[in-house]
Amino acid sequence: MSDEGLHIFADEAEDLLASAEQALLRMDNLEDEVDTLECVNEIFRTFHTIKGAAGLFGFNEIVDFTHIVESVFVKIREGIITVDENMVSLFLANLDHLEYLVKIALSDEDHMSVEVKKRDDYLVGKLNAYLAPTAIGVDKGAVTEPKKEELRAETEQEGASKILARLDDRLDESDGVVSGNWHISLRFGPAALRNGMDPASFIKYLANIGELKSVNLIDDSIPGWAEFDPESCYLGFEIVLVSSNTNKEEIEEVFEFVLDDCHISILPPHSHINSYIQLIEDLPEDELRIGDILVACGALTEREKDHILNIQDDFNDGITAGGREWDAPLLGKIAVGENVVEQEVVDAAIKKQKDVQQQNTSSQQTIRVNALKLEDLVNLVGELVIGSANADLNARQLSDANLNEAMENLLRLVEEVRDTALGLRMVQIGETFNRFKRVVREVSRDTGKDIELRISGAETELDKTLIEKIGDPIMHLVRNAIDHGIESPAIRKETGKAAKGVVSLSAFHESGSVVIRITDDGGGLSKEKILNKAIEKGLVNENQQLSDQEIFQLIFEAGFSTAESVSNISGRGVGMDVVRRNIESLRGQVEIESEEGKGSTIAIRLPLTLAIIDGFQVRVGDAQYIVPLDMVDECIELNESLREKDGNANYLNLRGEILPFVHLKDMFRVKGYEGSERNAEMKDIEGRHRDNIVVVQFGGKKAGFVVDELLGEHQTVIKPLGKVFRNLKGISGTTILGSGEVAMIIDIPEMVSRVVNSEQKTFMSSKTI
Amino acid sequence: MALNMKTVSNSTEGLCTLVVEEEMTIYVIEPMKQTITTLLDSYDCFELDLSGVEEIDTAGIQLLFALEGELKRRNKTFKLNAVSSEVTKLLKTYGIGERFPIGDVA
Repeated sequence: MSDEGLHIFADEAEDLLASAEQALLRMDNLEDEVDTLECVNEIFRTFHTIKGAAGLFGFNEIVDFTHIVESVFVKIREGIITVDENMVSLFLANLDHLEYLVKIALSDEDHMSVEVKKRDDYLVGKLNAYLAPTAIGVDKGAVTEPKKEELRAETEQEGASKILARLDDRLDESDGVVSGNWHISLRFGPAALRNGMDPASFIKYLANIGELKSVNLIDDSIPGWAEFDPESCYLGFEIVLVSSNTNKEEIEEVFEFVLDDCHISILPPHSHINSYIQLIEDLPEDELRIGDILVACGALTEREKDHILNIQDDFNDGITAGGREWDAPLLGKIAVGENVVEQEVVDAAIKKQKDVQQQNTSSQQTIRVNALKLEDLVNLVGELVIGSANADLNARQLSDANLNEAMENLLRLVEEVRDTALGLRMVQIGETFNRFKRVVREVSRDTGKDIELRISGAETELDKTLIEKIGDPIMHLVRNAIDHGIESPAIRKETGKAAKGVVSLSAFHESGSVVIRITDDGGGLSKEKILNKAIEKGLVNENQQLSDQEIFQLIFEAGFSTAESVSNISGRGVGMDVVRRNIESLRGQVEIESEEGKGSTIAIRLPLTLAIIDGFQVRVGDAQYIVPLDMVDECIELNESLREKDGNANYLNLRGEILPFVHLKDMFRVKGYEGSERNAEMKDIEGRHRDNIVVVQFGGKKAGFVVDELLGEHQTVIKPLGKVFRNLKGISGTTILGSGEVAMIIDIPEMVSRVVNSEQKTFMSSKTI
Repeated sequence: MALNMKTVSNSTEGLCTLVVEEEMTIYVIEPMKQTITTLLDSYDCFELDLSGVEEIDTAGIQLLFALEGELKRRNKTFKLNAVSSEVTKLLKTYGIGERFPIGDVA
């Protein structure tokens, strides 16, 4: 099979596994049966699809394994097994295993390693425990138990999974009916005809899906002539449909418009005999009569019918008292007008189903594109931007009106192309967030804490490369929040908090960056503890004055952990420094807010994109600099009045606010500043130099940079700094201007914190003295 | 559209032939039932000639079933004499092509 096919398989498997995991986690909320059913179906589909695809490629290990999982799900669908929490855990383990198997299959390794094999056997064993016959089936427990033993013995000689799959097949045979056809049972409501729903049209339509093997019209409900209302519908149908490539949804869709007027039961091929028992019970006609009809239309064999009718009595005695309610939604039947399911529940289920379908169609409209191609495109667009800037510069020098006009137009288009190209790489962060549901579930189980994960801003878009790289740090922070942040339920109760802890993940855009917040309502950070620990470790001096933020930031130092006990989840002090390093390597920042006893919030601030930004071009001396435009708040003139009032101080009064500022010429020690020709040109009438201040904002803090000239907007293609300059503070990259000159991009986060901190220090030191 | 049904009756033999033409759908089914109701007590044998039916729907088919059932209960005879291709088509869809004996008038 071609590599391309394998890639598609890998991609699909990845998507499917992710969605199955989501479904499993939703299943954790086991109270809602309709919901659970939906999840079961979704997971079943996943395993089924992967099985099919794996079969295509000849990945037998996957086929064998998925087959067993599938069989268990068949039982769940039929209501023989009820889902419990342990089962969800088992299935999560199965998903992991399957993911692993897929990985192995895609690599060149031929066989499972011993370890994997062991896990495979273990899981298969567990699954088979569920497959073992349960009480409902008449005597099959007795029959199959020895059978199983016998097969187990063979297991040693042949491949374990293969045998177990076979075993599973046999079990299936003993439970499922012989008929390999779909059985559809319809009872139309009285209003159907009046509403213009002619049963004939539905049956005709069914013929498009498969071959109608038999249609049996049930006229038993037609009353005597006197009561007979010819405009009401009294008819029912038992239909056998032969179709190998349809699914329940597709058949249900046929009856979508008549759902309110019709009672529909759809039984898939080889349905469990219990499904038929349920069907017969549900139908208004006499049981014997229905049994005969089902035999007549080929849904059941004579023997199966007798079997059903015989055990009917036992069944009614309530052996399945618990399971019966389960069966109703499991049959996927729309029990409108019956008391089995409330109308609202059905409506909700239908709506949800439609939503899912819509989602499916929307996902079909996407195209998979090789990431490299996208990267090439973005690079090309970058070159295009630089090229057009060059052309623009030359056009201006020619001062040709027509050319300039054309250039304007071209630049606008280039800008749009740039935005679109960058937009291609943007993905919603929601999927990444959803991954954490699993983490939260597991970690909270491990730690014995009850924790809810709240997600908001899932639709916030972020560059794909960023999302990939930010996953691990967030994971670490979430684990930390659960392990260190949230207290145990007992302590929480003592302190008057709800037993259930809340961890929230949120994302939003803020002035050119994306902010991801991880909040917990746990114990918060203890400043004192951190400080003591830091002093103990020699990270700070005892006499050092630190702001809250600085104290909190200490937890990101290497080897720092305040946890009294080390758990396997976190607490070893490895990681927080890695988290910060990872985030900083993405030109991001971490901030911590915390209140002891109330919880903490860790905010990660990331640049929107890594490739091209809107920049604001300024000049200092003869050098040009770029400030990311999103961070520019305003530009003001540093006039004499401000200067005089503040003397030599490096802050000024901006409409009542204190604005610290720096001279970029001092910061970057710009050479030849005094001799700059351009500055000489720009002296005002009185021969004084006019300074401008660019006010920037980052993370809620403002700072000003004094520059010589404001040059305006510039589309900036970020060229990362080479190895030599990587550690340069204050510069985040370079760009090439239209003239071919190189301009530095100012690292605003770094600069702002530098300016603000130096201000604070001077302020604090003046206060202490 | 209106009901187009003629009755050819023979009181001495207790035979009533209903000849339905053009339409046998939900739009005309109510008057059709009413007409038949007036005849039910008077005759022992009912024959339907549907060879002129151009349009029939499930309501029409259902009426056949209802009439057949009622006559059986009263120990009277029901016969489907002739059917048009439209009627045959629908009967086939419902898998009941064999259900009604179609015979000539004796």
